[in-house]
Amino acid sequence: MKLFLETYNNSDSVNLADIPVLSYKYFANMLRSYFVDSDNHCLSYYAFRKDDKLKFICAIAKDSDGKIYLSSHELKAGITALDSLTPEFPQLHIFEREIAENFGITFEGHPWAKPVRYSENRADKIKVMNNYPFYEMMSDQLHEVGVGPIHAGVIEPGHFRFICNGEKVLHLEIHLGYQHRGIENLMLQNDNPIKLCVLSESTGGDTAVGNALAHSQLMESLADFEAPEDLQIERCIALELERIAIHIGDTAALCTDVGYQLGQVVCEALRTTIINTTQFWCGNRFGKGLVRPFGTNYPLNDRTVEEIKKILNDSGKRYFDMAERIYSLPSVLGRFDEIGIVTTEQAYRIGAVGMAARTCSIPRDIRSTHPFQYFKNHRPQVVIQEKGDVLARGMLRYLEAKESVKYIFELLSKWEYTEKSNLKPDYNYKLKPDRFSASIVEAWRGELCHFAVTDEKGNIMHYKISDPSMHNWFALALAVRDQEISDFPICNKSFDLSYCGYDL
Amino acid sequence: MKEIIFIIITFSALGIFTLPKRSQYYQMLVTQIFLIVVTGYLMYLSFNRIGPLQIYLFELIGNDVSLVIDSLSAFFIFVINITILTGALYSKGYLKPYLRDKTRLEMAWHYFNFLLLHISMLMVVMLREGISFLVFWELMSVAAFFLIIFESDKQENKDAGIKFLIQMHVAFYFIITAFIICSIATGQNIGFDSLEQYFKTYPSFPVFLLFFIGFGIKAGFIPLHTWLIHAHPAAPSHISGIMSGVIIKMGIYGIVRVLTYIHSDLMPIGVFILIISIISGIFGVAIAIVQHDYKKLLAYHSIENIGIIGIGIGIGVMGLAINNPVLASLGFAGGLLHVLNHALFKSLLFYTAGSIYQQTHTRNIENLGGLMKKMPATAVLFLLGAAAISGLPPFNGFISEFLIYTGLFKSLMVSDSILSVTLLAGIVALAVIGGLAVFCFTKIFSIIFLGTVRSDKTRHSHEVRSSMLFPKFIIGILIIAIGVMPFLMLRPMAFVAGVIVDDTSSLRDMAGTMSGISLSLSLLIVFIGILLLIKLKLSKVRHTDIGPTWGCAYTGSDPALHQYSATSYAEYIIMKARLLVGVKKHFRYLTKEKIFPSETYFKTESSDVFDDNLISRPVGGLLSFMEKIAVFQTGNIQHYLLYAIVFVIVITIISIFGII
Amino acid sequence: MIIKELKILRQHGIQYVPDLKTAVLTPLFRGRPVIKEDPTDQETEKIKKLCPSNAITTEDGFGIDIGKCVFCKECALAYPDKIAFTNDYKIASNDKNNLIVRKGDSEIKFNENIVRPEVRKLFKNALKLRQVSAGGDNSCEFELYAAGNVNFDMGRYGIEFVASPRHADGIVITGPITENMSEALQICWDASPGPKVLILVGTDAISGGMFADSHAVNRKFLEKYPVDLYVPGNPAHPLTFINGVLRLIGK
Repeated sequence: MKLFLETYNNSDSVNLADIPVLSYKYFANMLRSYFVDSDNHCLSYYAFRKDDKLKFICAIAKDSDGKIYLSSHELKAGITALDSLTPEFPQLHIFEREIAENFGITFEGHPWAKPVRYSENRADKIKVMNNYPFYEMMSDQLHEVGVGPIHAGVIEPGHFRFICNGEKVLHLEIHLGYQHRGIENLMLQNDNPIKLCVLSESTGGDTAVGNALAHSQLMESLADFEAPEDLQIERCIALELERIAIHIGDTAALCTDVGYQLGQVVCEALRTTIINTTQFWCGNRFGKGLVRPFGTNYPLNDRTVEEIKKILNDSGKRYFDMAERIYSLPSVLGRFDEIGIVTTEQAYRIGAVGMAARTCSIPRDIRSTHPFQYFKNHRPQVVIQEKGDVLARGMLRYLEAKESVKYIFELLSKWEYTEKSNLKPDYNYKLKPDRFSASIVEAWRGELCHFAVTDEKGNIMHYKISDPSMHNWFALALAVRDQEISDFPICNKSFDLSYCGYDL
Repeated sequence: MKEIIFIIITFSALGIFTLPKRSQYYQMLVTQIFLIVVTGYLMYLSFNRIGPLQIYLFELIGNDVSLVIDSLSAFFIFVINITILTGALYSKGYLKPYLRDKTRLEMAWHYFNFLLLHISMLMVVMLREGISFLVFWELMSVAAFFLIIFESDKQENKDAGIKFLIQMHVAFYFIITAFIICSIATGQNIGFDSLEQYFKTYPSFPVFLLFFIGFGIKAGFIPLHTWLIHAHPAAPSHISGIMSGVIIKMGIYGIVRVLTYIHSDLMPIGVFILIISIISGIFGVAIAIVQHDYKKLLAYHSIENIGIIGIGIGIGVMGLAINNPVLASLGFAGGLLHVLNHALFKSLLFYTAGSIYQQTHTRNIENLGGLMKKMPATAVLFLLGAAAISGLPPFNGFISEFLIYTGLFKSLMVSDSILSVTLLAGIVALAVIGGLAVFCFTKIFSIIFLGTVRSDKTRHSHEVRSSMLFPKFIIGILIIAIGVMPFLMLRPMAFVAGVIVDDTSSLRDMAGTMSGISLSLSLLIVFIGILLLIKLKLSKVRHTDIGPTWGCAYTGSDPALHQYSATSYAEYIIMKARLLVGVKKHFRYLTKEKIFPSETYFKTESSDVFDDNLISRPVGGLLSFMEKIAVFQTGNIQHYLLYAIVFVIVITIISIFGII
Repeated sequence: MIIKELKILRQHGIQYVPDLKTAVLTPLFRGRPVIKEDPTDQETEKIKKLCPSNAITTEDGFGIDIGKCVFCKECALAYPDKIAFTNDYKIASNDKNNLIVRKGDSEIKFNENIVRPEVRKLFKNALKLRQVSAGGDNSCEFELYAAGNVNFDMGRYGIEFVASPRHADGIVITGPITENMSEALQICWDASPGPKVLILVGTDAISGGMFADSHAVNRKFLEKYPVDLYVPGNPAHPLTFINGVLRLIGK
């Protein structure tokens, strides 16, 4: 009996029926055998209603062979309790909680069974934002600090609950859901594909290119279309530009929090130059509208390439000078070094992905392990840091930006010799019926997954988005344990996780 | 005349037992006012003469017993009277809830002992003859004991009372030993007069040490303080206030009185007092910071203030040793003025604490909060006491500490290096104590009064009745008066210090500085007053909305729960001074391996290292030893007869062999 | 050492945009649309089907409501002779009716008549704003934060974002106002003292954008209070926001 179906990222879609359906017992054992090896990690584990059953799909990524393993099990109507796998594999905690919230399934033995985002279509409407069950310690001598949802800066809403003894944080609990807009349901509107493109970009406006790319890749996969090389190269350049811009912005934010004014203003100004380049290319500073399925409205031309090269040479060098200075200043290092440490062990156990994993010596980078678009032909260097503290996360951004600048130049030279396809986006595409596809993109935070299932007419029946922040929010909670509460803003900024991507 | 007064007082006191519950209080109050008037008159007489006022009373075993009132005694009479008066006025409202449950006899006994305490304290400061002094000293302790165990239904109160009584007796033995040594060595009668002769001929330090231990237990110097920390929380609040206000000052009185007779060995004595006082001050305030029981906290603060008084007296003695009248007079004046000031603000603090206890029935500050809105007058008075105890201008604590600082600084210049270091230590210690006191009182004031409620205990609180507020107002006025018009106290303190120090002219020289202080403080108060008026006027004109505190718009829970706790505020001191304050944390930190935390708890406990090692452990050891021996106590007559026979045999054998 | 910092500063140069009212953005910037020719009825049907956010209106003739428009430019790409998007970023207005672009419109008009007098009187020289993200996708928040950075520097006009609503003269909302955030938004509004302004930034805030029909969105808040300024865009460019606010406070 086949336990799983193998597929690759950014490749053909698979028949939904080909994904093996196991009983929960076999399904659980299969997951056990996979997750024991740290080479495997869970991309996503979710459920949706098909006919009168609840179908669970689990997608596992194996880093060494670049494959994605798919498996599923079905729950008949009437069964509402399953044994939880979280005690053995904490990385599944958020997914089991999501399934429990949306469909009312009880995972018995789950050590942290709490609501995820209070979605509008959740099963138990009695649970509301106001009665989130926070973890409490028995004592009348500790005090709790509750921050949010409305924070002091111009940022997204979320609630953080600290249990403190004096200035030391004993425990942090993060309660989100304020940004929930019901995107997954809205993605099921099959009347206008442009809506789906705009909605995916809105999932996370700071990751507009990443989300649009994941969506476009998904649609192309379900329609059996392979993008021509020049389109692939342009998409990779856009993704890397987004990465560089955000990393420079994050460096500015880190400097703001420690009061290093020069770093803040220089990096802010440099970020503006990068996103103005994106604006020059497509008319939007965040790249909205740049990536579309089956083609692009804004192909690269020589003028744009010249602009990109000029800005990267100039701003890139200035950023590297500034970052070198920042990470050699003792006063800044004193705030960053050994603060907010997440150990490698912890990162593995909670299934951290993307930047949060790479700063703890875990080499998880989809561009290298499960490459997509032009990364298949030309893989970038994966940057790893070891200490898992704020300094590592800051340094990672600097080094990744450096690597991305180098990579863009390599891509641009490749672009010059590639045949130009001049494809425009096609919104009249037809998707193949009864298919499943997975599209994973290494956005700047980490691996961003879009999954879709089509019905017998070729309409999208279910759409799932798994933002890297789903895995990584818990890393922040672990990082702040036993730290001073005044170091929390630094830890939060160093992770820079998405509230709206998590809340959908 | 004396006989008539004596008869009035005796019948008045005994008459309390015959009256119904409601009237007993007034009987006591009237008697006390009568006493105050009489002693006040004596005080007035004593101030305007050279040499002490002497009034012969009666003869006792061949000795004349007279009242001898010099300026020192007069000063203490003033302190006693004012504190007892305010305490008595306060007790009316405080004891009202108890009237229902206690019997007539219990209440009468309480009022009687209150009166007895007043009388015995007055007599203690007015008598010089040994036996009568010791009799009234004992009566004072016994009366205080009965007052402490007023709420005797709680076992812990009875334990505290017993501890108090036992330690007072230990103190008594030290004092009486010292008196006997002096008497035998000089051949004079037991009494203070024999000290004069003794200290001229023999080395002063050893006997002084005996007196110091005896009186020091009463005063509460470290490490002799362990009764204080149990007795203060156990006693009802008006008694706690009086205990801190005057009873412990009797110890100070004793020490200073003994010092008036000492003219040799002054330097070692001075340094000794200084060091013990510095330790008391710092240790007292550090432990106070980590307490959660506000009465225990105030008790530790009394220890700290005794330390401050001791610093003043210590440097005064050192000043006498090196013939530096500036140091001597300022030190003594500062220390003794602090006696009065401490009596004022500490009793104020205990009375307000009593009001809080009456309304909330809990002594744990972690359960309080937000009382400012419910009990505004009490809150302001507490704040006044807190600012005064921290030594902030324009209140009286500042003035007495200022005198001590001035003495220290003025002498720093003219001393040799070793002495300078000692003086510098005194300055630093005083400053550290002051800073830590502010830390402690910001914690206690904020947690109790500011913010919002932390538990159900404060839900039904309201302001206390005015009979309880009135005496606190009196004290408040005095605090501010001494603070803003310190020059009024200069002449009286010069007289008082003149008992020990011959040249008190430096005190009179302070008049200019004092006037300067009072002028600037008055200007400050006027300025603040003007600002307040402007603010009041403006806010009447503008529209005001009242809404909930901004809590980042979280809708789930009561923002009141997200307030600082007392332990968290004190965490800084706990971290730095862990050994000193002896705080133990019961908590398993969440390890890196535990991703999802399971149920856990957190608790801190603090213990007094002296109480543990000097009292609890030895007593515990003794008790367990006794339990082992108790096997002999079988309750069986035959066994006891056997013991008797064995004893006789043993004695016979021993005698035969001539061992004894 | 200082030398390195001086070198960085010299390279940094002067960053602020001298005149925020006359800056020019890159040619492809999707700002104000113009309607060169009214489309035919058939074309109008096709354009309506094409538009992802129902921004096409046909009452009183063909118009694009930039309060609903997500600036995807698909309509202009499909019918370039009828519709085009200019790089005019001054598209903020205080009158929702002025946000509908019709043939012949050459600018988005600001309606001086409906500006509340106390806004001009009190906030001309200093306007402190509290930003509330009620479901925004973080792009508008980034742009609002950038409006105060070293390039745009809206602080020179006294416009600033503050941390507490108690210090605020107005509330700026981004995002479509999700159900989960609606109560918090109300609390924030109540906590700021009057007189106060209400500014909506971004398409999601003005009309709900792509989420107007979602069940997770609760826009009842906007029915209660008058809005002082609408700043369209997806996301709204910092220059749009700053110019809009400057028009509002009368600078």
